[in-house]
Amino acid sequence: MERIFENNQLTLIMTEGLTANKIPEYNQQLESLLLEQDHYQKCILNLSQTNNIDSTGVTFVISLYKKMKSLEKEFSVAGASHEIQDLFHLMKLDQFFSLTE
Amino acid sequence: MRYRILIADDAALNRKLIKNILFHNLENVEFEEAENGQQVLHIVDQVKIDLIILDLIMPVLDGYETLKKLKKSEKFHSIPVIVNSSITEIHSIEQTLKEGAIDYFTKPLSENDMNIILPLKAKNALLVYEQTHIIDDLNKHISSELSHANAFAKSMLPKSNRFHEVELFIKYYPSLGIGGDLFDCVEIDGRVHFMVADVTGHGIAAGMASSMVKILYRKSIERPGILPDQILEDMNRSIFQYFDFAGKDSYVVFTAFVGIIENNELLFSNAGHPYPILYHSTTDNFEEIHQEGFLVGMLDDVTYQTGSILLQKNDVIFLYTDGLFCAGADCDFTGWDRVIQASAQLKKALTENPEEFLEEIYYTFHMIHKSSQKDFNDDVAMMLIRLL
Repeated sequence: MERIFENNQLTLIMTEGLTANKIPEYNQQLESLLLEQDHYQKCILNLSQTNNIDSTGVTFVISLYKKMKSLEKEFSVAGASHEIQDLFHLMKLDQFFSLTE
Repeated sequence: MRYRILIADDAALNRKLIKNILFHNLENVEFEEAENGQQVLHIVDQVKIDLIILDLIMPVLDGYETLKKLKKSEKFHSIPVIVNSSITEIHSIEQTLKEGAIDYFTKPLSENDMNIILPLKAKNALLVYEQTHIIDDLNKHISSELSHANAFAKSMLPKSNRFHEVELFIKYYPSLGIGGDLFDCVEIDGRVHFMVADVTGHGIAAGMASSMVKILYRKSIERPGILPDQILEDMNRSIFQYFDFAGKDSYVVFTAFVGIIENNELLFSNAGHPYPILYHSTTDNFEEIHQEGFLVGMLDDVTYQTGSILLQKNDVIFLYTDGLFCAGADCDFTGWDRVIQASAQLKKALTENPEEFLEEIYYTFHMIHKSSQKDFNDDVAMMLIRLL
């Protein structure tokens, strides 16, 4: 997971799949990252390099959305493949956050 | 713990020397002695030995052959063996290490060898052996626990059955261990209630959660006239009501498809579950039962919808979990569209022999995964409901 801080914006770029075997590691990285940084208004989860997602990966995205909501930050998902967008649509997640190109 | 060390050497003086060294440097040890390999094999068969100090050059049966026999034996292969011989035999010693000896020393023994090296090697070998025992015992215990948990998970699934409106066919292929797949199907007051659910994550936690989901489901459908959307809302509400961690930790988060069949009408509601497949017998067509919905247990106060479809005699509803199309460590939840393609190709089996269809579709996905060098790594649970 790569992170970029720019213009009051935190971008998290997932460089590997969002699958059960990776989620504990992402959660750890996220926990320390959120403790270190608070100078941003918007968080973008960039999934342009992500080809695989499973149900645990979906819970990671929802947890991140909820975390940002509790911190009063904007949240959106960018660059998701059509298949992942279909999945988020199936789970109605597009009602909670926007999916951008 | 008391250790028993077997010293094998044809020279009584060597046996005495090694025994003395180990006796004065190790605690809680006792000794057995052998003059050749044949005696070694006899002793290990009679008493429990924790370490063998094995001379390579011995009469009757030498150390090389003895080591080979020990390592081939299911019963004795894990006993650590430290070989020893003269320095001129160093190449042979190297060979015995390849054969499975844990360590070696050469004779004659220097003062350092006697006071430091040999006791240290023996101590390490005993420690490794003890740890191997602990790990073996632990593995046996875990395997036994998992086997019980798996049997329990299996017993929660409905059996193939016939109700007044439908016939039910089930196939469940458990992965190693335990997973979070759950099916249920029960008839209450003339209504056939069914649900397929898949708790996120794998392993024991998911298995425990799936048994809770079954209870929540059964409790919910006791309410007369309840609709599928209300069942999902009820279960979601209960999770937030009963569990402090709800909404924070994802222990009881699941996808689910809930249905009720009554008077040839299917009422259904979906909570993010891969679309079940409906085969229409009159038009000979397949369709996915499309409906979007939130995962259960993740967000408080979400609402669901109930859809309805009129069914005909011999229509078939095929429900499955993501373990079918999602395989390998990098499995992809988005591949459910392949299920309808595969089902259409197996139409004959679906209409004529549902049991065979379930086996065939499992085999089809087995081959699909094999072609990408993957194997099923999650439970595969499938349920097929045929209208009578």
